[in-house]
Amino acid sequence: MRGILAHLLVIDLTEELGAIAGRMLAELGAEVRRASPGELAWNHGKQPLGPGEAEALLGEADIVLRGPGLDHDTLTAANPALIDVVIAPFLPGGLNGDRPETDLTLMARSGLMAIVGDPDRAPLTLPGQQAYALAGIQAVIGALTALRARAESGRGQLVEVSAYQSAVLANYREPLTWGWTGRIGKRTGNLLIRGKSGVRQVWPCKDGWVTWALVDNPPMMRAMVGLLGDRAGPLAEVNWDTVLVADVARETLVEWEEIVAGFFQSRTRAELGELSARKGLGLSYIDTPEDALASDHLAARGLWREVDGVKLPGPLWLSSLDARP
Amino acid sequence: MTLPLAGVKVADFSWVGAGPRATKDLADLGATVIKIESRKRLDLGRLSGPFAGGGRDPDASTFFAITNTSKMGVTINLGDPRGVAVAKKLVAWADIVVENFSHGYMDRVGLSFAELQRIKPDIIQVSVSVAGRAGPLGTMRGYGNSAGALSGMAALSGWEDRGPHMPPFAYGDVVAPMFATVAMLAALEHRARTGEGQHIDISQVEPLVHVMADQFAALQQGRGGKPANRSATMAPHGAFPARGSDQWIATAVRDDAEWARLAEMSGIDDPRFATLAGRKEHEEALEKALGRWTVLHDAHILADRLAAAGIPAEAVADGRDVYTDPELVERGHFRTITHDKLGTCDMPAPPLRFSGSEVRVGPPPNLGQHNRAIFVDLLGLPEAEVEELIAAGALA
Repeated sequence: MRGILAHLLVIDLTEELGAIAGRMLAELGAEVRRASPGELAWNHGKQPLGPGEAEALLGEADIVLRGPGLDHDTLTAANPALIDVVIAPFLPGGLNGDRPETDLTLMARSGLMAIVGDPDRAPLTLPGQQAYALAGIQAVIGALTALRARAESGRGQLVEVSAYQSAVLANYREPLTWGWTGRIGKRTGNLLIRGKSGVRQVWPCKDGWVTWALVDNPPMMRAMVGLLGDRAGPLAEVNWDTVLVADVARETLVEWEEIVAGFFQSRTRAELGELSARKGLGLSYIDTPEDALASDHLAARGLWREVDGVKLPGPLWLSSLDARP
Repeated sequence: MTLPLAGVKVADFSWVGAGPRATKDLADLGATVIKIESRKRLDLGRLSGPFAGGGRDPDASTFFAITNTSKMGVTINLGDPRGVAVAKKLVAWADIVVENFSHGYMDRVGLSFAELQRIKPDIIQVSVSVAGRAGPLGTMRGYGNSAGALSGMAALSGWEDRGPHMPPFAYGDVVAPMFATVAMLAALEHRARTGEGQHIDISQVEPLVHVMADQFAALQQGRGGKPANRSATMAPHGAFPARGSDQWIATAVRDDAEWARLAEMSGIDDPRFATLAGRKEHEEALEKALGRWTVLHDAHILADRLAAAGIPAEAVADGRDVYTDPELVERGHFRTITHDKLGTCDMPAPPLRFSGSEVRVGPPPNLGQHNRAIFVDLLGLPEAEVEELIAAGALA
């Protein structure tokens, strides 16, 4: 993709927490300089910093990305235009400033783990290091926001990002649902909870798995009923414009879902994906990571980049500028 | 202190989750975001509970509210050419147009990127969709959970001996909007320097691949498989039972010295566990032994004890724990708003603190709440014409 931030110099002092921030800025064309190599996935596209070079470059850098522990006034003494971005488990200077955290423990405290997994087993976290990634993306938002503010004020500023709050923001329903209703969310296996009950999201098909759900989207529901034809049973009698699926009792949903499950089991992933594209079902087959690496669609969008023999995601999005000379 | 994105103008055609969350970020940071929706095709977020007051008032949906703070709201029926004509006036006013309609919808109603550029040559348009607009799956419809499916994330989630897992929230609806926010800010920066707008095509799948880049690397380097709660470099690393029903404590032991401290606290005296290699080799036995100790303790109290000893640990919090967490109260993560249907209540703020800029969290708009302010006061349409268009259904 076009390097639309090629004019920016970024000093990346992050470790694991927030490393995606420098990765994203590098992908956008910024010159991102980093002292230690770090993990390939988060650090390709960045350039090395030689010994003592960070100090010199801070005088001309636009953005520094770092953990807590350095002094903002010292960093910006020679360069008041510097945007100093601190990515920390918690906003510095508070109750928990010294508390040790990892991605797993931040995910636990955010409440996300309480709803991920199966009811008969321990809570799960998400694959990878998602609290760290969310904080890193928020750091880019903060840095670019401060860049815009600098265009007006002429000055940089301190931007602080809380990884914990980033993860809480991702838990967009549970805390406020408790605040509004006193209801505590639980692990549901693969049910998507809306309103009074939940709907099933994961279905086996002939050669793997697909995802689809009964949702409040009348055109999608009518499309599925149309495909089921004679096998639709009670689904054919539902007025999808007036029913609120979110308020239908779970036992009725189970009855409806058994009908859909039978249909899915008789079809392959590819067949169901094609039917969904043609009929507007809102269904998706479930890819393994190997499937994603081999995906014609992701390849057509130019997602993968070979780095030291490893295919890693490259572009963040597609732009109309990419098609121009 | 000033709002850092004051002066940025967004015509927000997006709905439900993936688009509106991106524009919420901009609005909370000071941009003027005008949400365009229609009574003839309600934002499905407005139909999602819980609802204030217990009914189903589309202006009282708390789900809609948490996704649409700080915005203004107008109603335009894009199925009516007169509505589209007014929408074009908003485009002429805007810096950025955001949409997450199904493939081709904007083109069909006369708001293709080419048309937007004709109206405003430096316009920035951001389109968010499950699989992106370009590519073999470009016409695909779906929701955030489809992104989890196609990115490999669902298959990597859940337990190793079970099928794919999809949590009861759409993580694709969390990450893609953040990429969209970054895209809008980067595009504004580019336009400030070059005068050049652009159309940005964001999928929900690719951002999820990005945030799992380490998993894709590990797979290709021979370290694949479902991680569940485990880590390649830390053990024990998981959620362990605590006292009480469905109570859990998550802990991550980063090195052998931390394990030595935890072993002493817990009384687990087993030489097999002294090194990381040994703990990994006997991970199942390790987890069982630790669980037999943690189950005797309150999760929160034990987590604080372990943290005080330098070992990362947290209770697995539920919605109540999070909402009432003193850390969040101190930081103003939930800001109080006042709204005529929602009453006085809390809404989430960006997880950012600026030394020279402020963040706001304002109330979400009711349907058409700002029709007069926007159509008459901002766009200069005659009041009588606006009233006629509202009555005729073009602005409804």
